Amino acid sequence: MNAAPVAATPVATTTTLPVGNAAREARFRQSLDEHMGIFLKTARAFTSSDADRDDLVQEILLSVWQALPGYNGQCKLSTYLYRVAHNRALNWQRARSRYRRKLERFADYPHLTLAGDDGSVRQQQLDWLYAVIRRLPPADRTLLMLQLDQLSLREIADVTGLSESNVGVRIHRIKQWLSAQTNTHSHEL
Amino acid sequence: MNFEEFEKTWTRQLIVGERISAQMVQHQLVREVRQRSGRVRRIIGVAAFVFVTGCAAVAVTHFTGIKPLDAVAARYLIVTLIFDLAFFALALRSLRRNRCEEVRMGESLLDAVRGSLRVVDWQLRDCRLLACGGSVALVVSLVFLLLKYDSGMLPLRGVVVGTVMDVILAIALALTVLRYYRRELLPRRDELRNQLQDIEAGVVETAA
Repeated sequence: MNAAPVAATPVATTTTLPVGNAAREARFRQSLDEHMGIFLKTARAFTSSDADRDDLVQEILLSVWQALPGYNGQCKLSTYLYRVAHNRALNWQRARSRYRRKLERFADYPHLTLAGDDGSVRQQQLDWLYAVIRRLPPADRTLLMLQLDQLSLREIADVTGLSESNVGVRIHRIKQWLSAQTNTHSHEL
Repeated sequence: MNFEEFEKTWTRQLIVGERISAQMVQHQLVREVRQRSGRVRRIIGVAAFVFVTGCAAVAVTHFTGIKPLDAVAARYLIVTLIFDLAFFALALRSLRRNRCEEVRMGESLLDAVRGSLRVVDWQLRDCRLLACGGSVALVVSLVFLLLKYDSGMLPLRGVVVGTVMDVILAIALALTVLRYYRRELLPRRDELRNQLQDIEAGVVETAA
């Protein structure tokens, strides 16, 4: 099995590539190779079952493919991919019911696990964290995930379209809420 | 457990599983995109086929003398052409907007939702336009039937049959548009407005 660490911070990619289909294919390959973690984490935060998770990963990949012609280096590729992934996740339920034909699975998608010897304790914490993330309103869910991925306030503002100050205030409130959840459910951790 | 510990746990996530072939996925995605847009293209294709065949049939019957066009029929044909071209223009515009929707996925969350809301508002307006246009087309068609009856070109039975067919077609179109308007567009607009409110307001709910 291939185990590749999920990048906590996105890799800066603003090099200029040739235009047209070649660029699109190159960007798509780069997205899959370097930023699969973004898609997997987003899917896990917006779904609660393995089947739904794989469906959403596939929808995100579809959206990435269709959105790539619109990428012209205006921001980091990772920022662009965060936007695509979260925009798709926000609209996933509606898009899913629209295409009633059963979606054929393209591949067996990888999944996320934890590194380290204290895996079972950390795994429980991670499962709890994802469950708590799912309880947030979608926009706050996005903010928390981007913060956990250690994006700067500016980068988070770039993904969401909010101002940096707004992002800062909201993340502060989310952390307070998370802290309250931790105190209430400390026996589960 | 504090936020820093959550961050540590979060960053320790690993991807495990088989590496996905980008080329294979890409090939499947292209096929999926084609299938998803196929339905709309098929509808436009059928409509275009009917349009072209109809025009060809009228031209052949006119120039071969089988059924030459008179003044009334010619005017009716021109009006029908205008409505058909308007329908195609709306359909192609809708197709183009849908393509833009996919590229919009790369915009910020706020811009993407605002853009989608604008598109839905346009689609709602197009539906109302289609409803008005359909009503006008029905009235024009009835007027032409009466003109033909008045000039003796069409018997009363023909007028009745023509009227009934036009009304059935108009009702079918109206029901289709109304269903799309109420079941797809209005809920979609509400959903987008809620998303916009969620992004802009940012109230953290304390779930039970």
